[in-house]
Amino acid sequence: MKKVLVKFASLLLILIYITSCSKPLMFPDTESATIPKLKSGTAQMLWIGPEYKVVVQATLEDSEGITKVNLKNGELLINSDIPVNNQTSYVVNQIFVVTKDANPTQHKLELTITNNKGGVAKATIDVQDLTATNQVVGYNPDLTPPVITVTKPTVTKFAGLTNDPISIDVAAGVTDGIALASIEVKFWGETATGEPVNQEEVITPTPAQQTNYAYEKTFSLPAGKVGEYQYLIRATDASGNKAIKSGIITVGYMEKLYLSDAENEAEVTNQGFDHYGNSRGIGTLISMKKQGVNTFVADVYYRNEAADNIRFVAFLGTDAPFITNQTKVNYTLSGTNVLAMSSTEQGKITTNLAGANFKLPAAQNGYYRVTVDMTKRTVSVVPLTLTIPTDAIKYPGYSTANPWAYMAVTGPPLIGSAGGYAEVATSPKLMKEANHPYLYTGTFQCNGSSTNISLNAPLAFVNSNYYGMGWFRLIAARAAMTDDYGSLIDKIGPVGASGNGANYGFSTSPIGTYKATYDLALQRLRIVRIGD
Amino acid sequence: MKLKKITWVLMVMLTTLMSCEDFLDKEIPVNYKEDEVFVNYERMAQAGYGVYTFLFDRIGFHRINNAMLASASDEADHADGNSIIQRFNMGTWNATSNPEDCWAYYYQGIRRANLFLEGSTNYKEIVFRDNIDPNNKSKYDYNIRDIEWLRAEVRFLRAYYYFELIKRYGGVPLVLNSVDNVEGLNSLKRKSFDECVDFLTKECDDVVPLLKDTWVGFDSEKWRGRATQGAALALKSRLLLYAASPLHNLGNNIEKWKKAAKAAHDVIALNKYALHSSYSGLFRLGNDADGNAEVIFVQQGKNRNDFEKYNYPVGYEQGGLGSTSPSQNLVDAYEMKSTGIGIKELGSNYNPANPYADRDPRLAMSILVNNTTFKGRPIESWVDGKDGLGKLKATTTGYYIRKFVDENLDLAQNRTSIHTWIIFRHAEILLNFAEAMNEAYGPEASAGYTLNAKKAVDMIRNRIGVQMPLLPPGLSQEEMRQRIRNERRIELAFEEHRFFDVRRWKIADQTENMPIMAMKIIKNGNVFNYAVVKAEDRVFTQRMYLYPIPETEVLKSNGAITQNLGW
Repeated sequence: MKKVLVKFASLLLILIYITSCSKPLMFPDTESATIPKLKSGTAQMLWIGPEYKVVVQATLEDSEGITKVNLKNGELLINSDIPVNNQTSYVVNQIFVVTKDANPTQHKLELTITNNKGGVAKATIDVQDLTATNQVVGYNPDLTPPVITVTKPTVTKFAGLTNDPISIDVAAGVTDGIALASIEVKFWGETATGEPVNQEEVITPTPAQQTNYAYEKTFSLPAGKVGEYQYLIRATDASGNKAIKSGIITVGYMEKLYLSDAENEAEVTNQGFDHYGNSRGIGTLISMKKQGVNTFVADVYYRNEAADNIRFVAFLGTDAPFITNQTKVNYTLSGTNVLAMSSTEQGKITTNLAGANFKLPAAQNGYYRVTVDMTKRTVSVVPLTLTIPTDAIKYPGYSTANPWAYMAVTGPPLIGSAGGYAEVATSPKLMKEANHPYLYTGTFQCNGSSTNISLNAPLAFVNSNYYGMGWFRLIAARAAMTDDYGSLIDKIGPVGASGNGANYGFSTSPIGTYKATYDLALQRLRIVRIGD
Repeated sequence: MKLKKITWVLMVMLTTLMSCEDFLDKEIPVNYKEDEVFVNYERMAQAGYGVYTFLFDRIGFHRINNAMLASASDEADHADGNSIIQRFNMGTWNATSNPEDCWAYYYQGIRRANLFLEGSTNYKEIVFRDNIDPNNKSKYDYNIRDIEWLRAEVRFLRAYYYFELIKRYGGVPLVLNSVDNVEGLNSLKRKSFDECVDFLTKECDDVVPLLKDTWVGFDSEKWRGRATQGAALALKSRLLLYAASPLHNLGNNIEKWKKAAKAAHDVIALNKYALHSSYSGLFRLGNDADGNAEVIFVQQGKNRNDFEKYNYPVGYEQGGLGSTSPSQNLVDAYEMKSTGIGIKELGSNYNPANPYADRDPRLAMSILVNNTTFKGRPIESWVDGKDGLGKLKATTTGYYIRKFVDENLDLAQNRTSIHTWIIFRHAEILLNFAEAMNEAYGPEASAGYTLNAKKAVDMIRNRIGVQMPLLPPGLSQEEMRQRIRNERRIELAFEEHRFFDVRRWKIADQTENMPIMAMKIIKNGNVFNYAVVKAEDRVFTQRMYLYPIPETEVLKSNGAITQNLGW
């Protein structure tokens, strides 16, 4: 019985559903409201004197009587309601002040017309653009501003590392088709320590100079101080049109900074480079990464020994430590772009190298993050704790407690290498330095060819698998390894099995004997040619 | 509130880490129950990383029914007229139908954060249980340190999610623990906007010293993308800027602007960030983005080409659905390169017959304009051109987006590249600083800081490759305000700022009621005729300054949660 009732109810619901859906919808048979009409209309955008206006004329009709008209154009910010007193015919006469278009624009004015029965009609009128000619005969204002052509300064960035005064030449040609009224020149800014510079002058050109004025002046900046300055030239013509040109001058804001640990000039000129890559990076310079606007950071190992010779070498613009290739060194240890820590003020850096101690502000050897603030001219260090990961492939048999006694240097160009990459009894070796946890130092001789050289973990730990374990080569393709400034650099590190890592070693030239130190933690290889 | 439906089981379903790389890409193959999560480092850490997943769906590329949020502002039109983003533009959205409703989403993220923070409170004991062996000391230390960082990151993320809520809805209930009972959830009341700001400010302050300064160069780079001290300070800067802005600072309390200026300067004073030398390259950095000096915090990306499929000009054989159509309104905002002033200003050097010449270089880096060479041929945006009006799914404005787009992808071969969305970058901080300084102290006052409003804007204009003329000295506060707003519009175009900026400035009833204008281009021989036409009307009413609270949440709360005005 229950099932029958359910079935019956279901059928009833379906029937109701079908009938409700099939029933035709009927609209009430009432008379439609009349719709207002736009009988005719024009809209023109006109340039009248200094103003731009949209002039609207339109005739509207409605048999019931019009009660309201709305005129709208979003982009011209026109939105105006006009109340109408039930008129069957109404003429719109409206003027709107608008802003000049920057581009030729196809505007449409939208009219919404309402009658007293609630009927609404919408219509549009194209706005005719007649702004090419001013409606006021003879109205011909000077709308062209002066032209300023700055010819100096041509150099806008100065190192400011010496106490020599810095002079800035500012030169510009200023022209106007009618007449220049004034030229205002301002040079202002301040040093990083807040010392202000503020010079300005207003020039009124003589009648002979009113269409063409040549400006030139030299401004002086505080010597030897970091600072940022601006110059501005503003020309105004007789009609009030203005033109402005300006620029920034910086002093002491460096673009590149390197830490040098070369012990002497010979270690600069003979520092190692990757012959094949035609690049430095395994020598005595460490690029420092720029942070913020004028601060540089690098992680280094500091020996804290008498022979320490830590200097900072700064460069501006496209200037770099090496010109074109490794054979052309572009700096010396005593150049005007070299700074070092003051011997009298711990943590201060100075270009007065006679008063420098060439140390880092650290009391003991170890790893440090070195930060140089070139604005404050300070150097600070934070100790780093570096570890060698446990990795049986990359560092077989190595632990901090039981480090390798040496690292072998292998490869065909090496004297004593037996031509291959396997360590043999005569292979050159970099020996573990006492008191320096991750440093390996030694010498090797090579024939100067561009063939690859590797570093290897001791043979006893690589199980004859010298292509697969404890193999130290370029950690990526040469082209992919750049220093903090985009220059090619070589980073030597454990590459794992030969099929996984970059399989290129480094190479050195010319033929000769090299002293090398490899830092296992920072993966830095430092090479200097010390003889034939 | 939907968040009450989130169970512990859902919380640990960390298998939704679908849109990120590296550590965010790990999947947990089983569903753990509550008491099975906080039992060891790995599971606990995964629960923490899971909080990052809420960084992905409500920020970034074409995320609203294939449209960018820019298409709901005067920056762009979305070419697909059927996309739900059009509801924003037609004004047909409400408390039951919001194209970008974020309420439940961010409360889910906040709940996950709360659960992690509660569950990991005794993290030292939990980690230790897995590290009894003395030989695992270094691993133990590592894990402890990681959870400590992660707890700070999760607090940062919770603050960020709250900020995303309050910038849309105004004050919201502050839920700081994992409430499970219905009564508790239904009784939650909205805090005022200022109360929320105070809480979030303190959270940012508290977590900064607990966060890592950078993840670059750490542990084989495997943690790249995690939050840093800079990210928390940047969030605070943006938060306080919003709090000082007219929408939330009705009496124009100058102290709020001063706080905003200081917060921005705190980021600048880190001396860690700087402007990248390539504006166009900045948005194509891939997952190395957080190693760039300008980038403070990113949404780590994945290999994809859907953005290109949507946004390549329609005439390219390799795809191109034509999606984000930059507006003439935005194009007109780019100043003239030679004069440094707007195109409508006297003496600007603007030539309407050659409208893209001599413009701010960021125009060409952000927007594909007619006749620009792209993928080996000029863009044909003219009527009946390969990419122009009249073609199916073509731009509706005469322009295509270029920012973020990888020009080098071969879509025919389904090639992909990593797309990373930058959440905070240094240029924004400089603009935050400039705006706050101008309002607090004036255009050129330094007030003891290392730079002033003008200088901060000048730094952005002077970026290598952009090098726009510097702002003239002597601008009034109002003139500087307009210059800063325009600079922000240009520099941060399409980066989900403009939509909210016009609201916090309370100018949306002007800017968002303006029609979206388009450039209609006719080609006659080798000559182009340019004329601006209306693409579509837009509707914005006063109530739209804040989103409506979802109707279901208001009803469920039995009056505890009040609806925003007008909805």
